[in-house]
Order: sequence, then structure tokens, then C-alpha cells
Amino acid sequence: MTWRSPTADDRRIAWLWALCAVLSVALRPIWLAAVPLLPACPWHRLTGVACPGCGTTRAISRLLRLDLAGGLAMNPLAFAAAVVFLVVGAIAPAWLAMGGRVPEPAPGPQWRWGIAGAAGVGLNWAWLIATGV
Amino acid sequence: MSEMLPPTATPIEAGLPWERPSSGLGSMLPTIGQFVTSPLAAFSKMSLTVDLVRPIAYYVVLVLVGAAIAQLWNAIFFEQTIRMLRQLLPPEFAERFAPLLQRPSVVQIVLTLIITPLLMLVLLFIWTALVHAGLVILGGAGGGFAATLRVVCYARTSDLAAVVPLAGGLVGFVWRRILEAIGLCTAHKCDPWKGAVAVILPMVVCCACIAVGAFAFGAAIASALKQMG
Repeated sequence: MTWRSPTADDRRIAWLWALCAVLSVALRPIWLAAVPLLPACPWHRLTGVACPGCGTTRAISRLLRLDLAGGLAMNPLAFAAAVVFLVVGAIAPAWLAMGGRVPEPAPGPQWRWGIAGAAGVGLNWAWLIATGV
Repeated sequence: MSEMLPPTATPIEAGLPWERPSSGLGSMLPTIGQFVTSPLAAFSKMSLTVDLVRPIAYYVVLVLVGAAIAQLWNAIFFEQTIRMLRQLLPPEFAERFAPLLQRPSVVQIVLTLIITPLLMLVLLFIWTALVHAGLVILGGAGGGFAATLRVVCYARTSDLAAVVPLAGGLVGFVWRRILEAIGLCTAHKCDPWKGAVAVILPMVVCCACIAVGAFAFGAAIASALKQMG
């Protein structure tokens, strides 16, 4: 991973990210109204065991209600991803405006990232099964 | 002497009509035509330097068009769709989705058309991030995040599949994945399989339960049809 100066595209993406973060919070009533209408996880219904994504909706709806501990318990990975999405999105334009640099992955396959991602999903899944989410 | 020869192809002709400087909404139709008829050539013409506002605006317009067509079909086939759903869905589902099984008012339709592009903008960013993460892992993200974003925006041409009543959503979904795979390998100049895997991977990882759900739903419909027969 290297860090480089931002381009015009990076600045646009930072603003898009910020807009999406703001929209996600601004559309909170719609997300919360949609939650009860969503069907239960079919994987969980069929197998009786949580799927890797189980608890995501509950984690995000609790985050939107500012129940941070409850959201984290529901699906730690989804909760962390949502927090990163909102927080980094909110500060991204300011970061670039202050001269911050942009991360760029090294060329070529990033198998270590893939293994880390798979391990993260696997550990999160084990947590979901162990806690009976 | 050579100065008198006409140029073989000007840069303006080489690009997408929608991406030409000061092109208006009218240039969207030929752009859509290029993505429908020859997506490979269209993605090859796609600029990787033009202001990102252009592809994002294209995405928003196509989402709006798709949503408007879906609302039109909903208005025309509302009674038939609701009757079919009531027959197919178990009673507890019909009760649960009761608010959605009533004809929407004009205000609701207008609100839907306002909110849909906003929701889809959030989904655009999240989906692009997931696809790009897959490409980075596979080593096929040479064009950067912006190139992936451009491809995902133009792949929204598939929303035109909404003109197919009932099956339009499914047709559009499959068409979008194909356009994305073609666009990714063209924009990032990577192996086609990397583009395809990057598009499929997030669905496999995040949406395995949706696949199981679709199977269960299909099985439920099949058994309901058998009972009706």
C-alpha cells in the first residue's frame, strides 16, 4: 500500500462518499420503517444456524437508534463496516481539503487482504453462531 | 501535404456522446444505444478522465427512468399482481405485507420517485466498494476506484429492462451483472474472469442467504402451483 496525492476523481469520490453518509443518516426513518417488512433470514430458517450476514439489519437499525453496544453484538463486522462508512465518509472531503493523501493498493493480487477478509468474515460468522444471533 | 489530409478519427467521435464537452440530455439516448447494442465498444470508448459527475448523472437518470417505468407497470397491473401475490403468499406474509398490497396514492408515487435515486446513490457507493475490493484482491483494479465507479454507473443502462413487465427486475439484474463484468475488464484492462469474479464475489459472500431464500421462495411457489393444479 502506498499513499499518493489526491486527483480530481478522488475529490469527487470523497464528496460522493460524504453525500452517501449524510443520506444514510437522513433517510433513517425510511430504513427503520422498512426493517419490520423484511423477511427473516431464509438460511437461518432452513438450517437453524446463522448465515454470515445474519444480524446485519438489526445491527444497522440499532446503530441508527444510537444503541452502539446492541448493534455491535448483533453483527460486529457489519456494525464496524457501517461505522467506518459513516465516519470516514463524513471526514473524507475535509481530509483531502487539508492536504491528506489517498491510499493506493500495490499492483498485483493482494492475497493477504483476501485471506484477512475471509478470516474476518469467518470469525464474525463464528461469533454469530456462538451467540445465537 | 500531410496537413491537408482529413483526420481519420477525431477525439470527439471516439468518446461516448454523453461524455462530450457541454453535451446535453439529448446525448443520453445515443449513449444508451451504444451500451445496449455493443457494450464492449461502449465501455472501450468510456473516458477514464472525464468529470465523475457525468457517469453519476447518467446513473441517476437511468434509475429514475427505471423507477418511473416500474411505477407505470405497477399502476397498470396492480390488481392482477395483488391477486396473484395473495394466492401465492402464505396468509402470515400477506398480513405482514398488507401496507404494500394497497394501491399507492399519487403522493406516494411522487415520494418514491424522489427517494429512489437517493437510496440508489447510497447503494451505488456500497456496491462499487464491494466490487472494487474484490478486484483489488484479484489484482485487477489497475484503473482505480473511479474506473469501477464509472463502470457501475454505466451498467445501470440495464434498468431499461423494466420495460419488460413482471420479469423486468430479474432481466435487469442479470443484464447489469454482465455489463459490469464487461465494463470492469475493459476499464481496468484485466482478465475477463477477474471482472466476472469481482461482480459475483460480493453476492456469494454477502448474499448467500438471498440465494437460499430465492430457492426457498421458488420451491414455495412451485408447491403452491402444484396445489392449485
